[in-house]
Amino acid sequence: MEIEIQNLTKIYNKQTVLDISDLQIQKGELVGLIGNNGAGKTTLLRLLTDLIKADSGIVFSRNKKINKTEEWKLYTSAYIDAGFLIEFLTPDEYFHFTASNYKISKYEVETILGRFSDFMNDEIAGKQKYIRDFSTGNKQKIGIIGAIISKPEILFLDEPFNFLDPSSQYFISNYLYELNKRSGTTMIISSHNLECIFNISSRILLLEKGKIIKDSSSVNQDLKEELENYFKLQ
Amino acid sequence: MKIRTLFLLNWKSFVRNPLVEQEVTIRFVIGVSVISLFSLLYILGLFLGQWATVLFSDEASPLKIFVYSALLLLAVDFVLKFLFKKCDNSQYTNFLRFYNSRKSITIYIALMELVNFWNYYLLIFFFSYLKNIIYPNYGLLTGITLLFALYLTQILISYRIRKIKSNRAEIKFISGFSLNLFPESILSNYLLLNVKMMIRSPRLRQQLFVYLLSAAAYLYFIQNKMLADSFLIQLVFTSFFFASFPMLFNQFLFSAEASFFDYLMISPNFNKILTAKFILYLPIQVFSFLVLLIVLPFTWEAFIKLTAILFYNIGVITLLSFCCILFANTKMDLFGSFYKLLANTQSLQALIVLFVFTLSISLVILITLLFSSHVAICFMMISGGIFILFNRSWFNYLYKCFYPNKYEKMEIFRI
Repeated sequence: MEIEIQNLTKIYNKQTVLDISDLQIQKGELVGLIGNNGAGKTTLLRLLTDLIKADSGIVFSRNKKINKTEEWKLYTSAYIDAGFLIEFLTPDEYFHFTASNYKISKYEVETILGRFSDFMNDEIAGKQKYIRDFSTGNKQKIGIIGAIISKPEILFLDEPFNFLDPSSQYFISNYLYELNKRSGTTMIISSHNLECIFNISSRILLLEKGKIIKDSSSVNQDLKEELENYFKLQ
Repeated sequence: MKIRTLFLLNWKSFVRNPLVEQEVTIRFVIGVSVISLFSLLYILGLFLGQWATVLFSDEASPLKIFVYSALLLLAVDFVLKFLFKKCDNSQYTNFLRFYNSRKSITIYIALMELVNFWNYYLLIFFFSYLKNIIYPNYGLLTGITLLFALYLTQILISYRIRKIKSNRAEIKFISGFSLNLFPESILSNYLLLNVKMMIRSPRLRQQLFVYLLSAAAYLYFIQNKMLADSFLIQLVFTSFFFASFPMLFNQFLFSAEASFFDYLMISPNFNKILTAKFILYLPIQVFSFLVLLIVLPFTWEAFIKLTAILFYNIGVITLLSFCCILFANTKMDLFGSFYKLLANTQSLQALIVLFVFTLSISLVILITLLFSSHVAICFMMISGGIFILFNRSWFNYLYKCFYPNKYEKMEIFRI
């Protein structure tokens, strides 16, 4: 079992924003996390990365409590928001700094970056410019690559398709799908882009007001129609 | 867009700031400091005539003395404003989309400059000289004209500085500081990260400048015989010389990293950042020690004394100052204004660092007074050595104390 949640709740201003009684994620699953604004997607990802304190409940990563040990950090990576970027570094420095934390060699970093050359579109790698001076879209790309470059076995991404142009959305959704198939990386990806998330996910979790109201491992046309109805897209 | 709208917006941004209480306190402290500074400047200005005889010939006319001193101080004013004066035009960028806003913003900035203390502190300094020397010799009109000319020049300097700073508002990549090294060791990487942060953040560069200034001042005063002869005075000043670098930077520990703290907290080996900082401070302290060995006349006794002070500073004072991570409760804006630096700095962190310094030095002073300077030297050498040897355990302990409270700190860092 890669991730397990037991009776997890998070309360902000006396309002329960997340309440998940039981959730298990198996190795190699690519979980699409969807829901309207305020459904609790980012809160869930922050709880899974131990960045906020749960009001109750426990998160296990490979059967170990994430708030008690730090072992999970060796095989887990995430990109949630700009708080994951070191803005006074250049993208290359950021990638290499991240990689060194996970003992990834320079050669491997270059190899991985080579795979992202189309995604970076000659605008990121090799640029002698600090991350803070990049556009929002390019910052998003740097964050996503930074999360992947550490070769994680568990990857959390919060709305990775935001701010990206259509070709970049297409590229990254395919890349994540391939990575999941090739390396068996367990992923939880939240998104409002139903099309992208449907194309790559092996399991869909629908959140509403902090609760999982739909958990389906059959990602098919019926589910797509059901969710389109839910989001009033039809 | 009306000018009064800008004043109103400025007022609202102040009173609606979630950290308004802290801001009021900081402004109050700054206000008191400015009044004290102005009083000091006024008093110093009273002696301008006497100082001028040292710089110029006795026969120099009062007008010549005024003009030369004013030119000299205006040059200093230019440097000070360049380094420290807040000239952030970016806050007005959003207003530019409103109709007829450019003119209003320009007038607003000009009005704010008129009352900015940066533009009349020299008036305070020269006031007594103008009143007591220039006015009786050259008349009221000359006095007022010179006063006005000085005020106008200060405003023009501010205008020029604002222009220069807004032209380089976008932080340009400085190839000389690129430090494009990618060491594979985690510790080296954290070390390099700290160096980059220090060099690339204008706010931390200012701290570096403060450190260099204080180091230069110390090296100037060390030539004073009294300082060299008295063990206690040497202990206090030399300790400050050795410890000022870590103290200046440790007061921002974790507050400076707050903008990417989420990233750090999910990175493995994050606690190595403390060791990396310690390693960064080490060569600077050792270098300061070597400089002193060259500057001061060499005797074995002085050498042992300096070595003991160095050990105590590296070991006890520097390592203990890392405690301030437990009190890191604010996010420092690495690229914000100098004022923001003050407003965002958790004063408690700075106080902890100062407290550690004062307490550690007081302890040595007490030992010296109770026993002798030889006992104090032994104490510093042994305690410093022990702390240095067990630095890893100390960092692990601090991190262990910090870790359970990380959530509330991270919540604040995200504001």
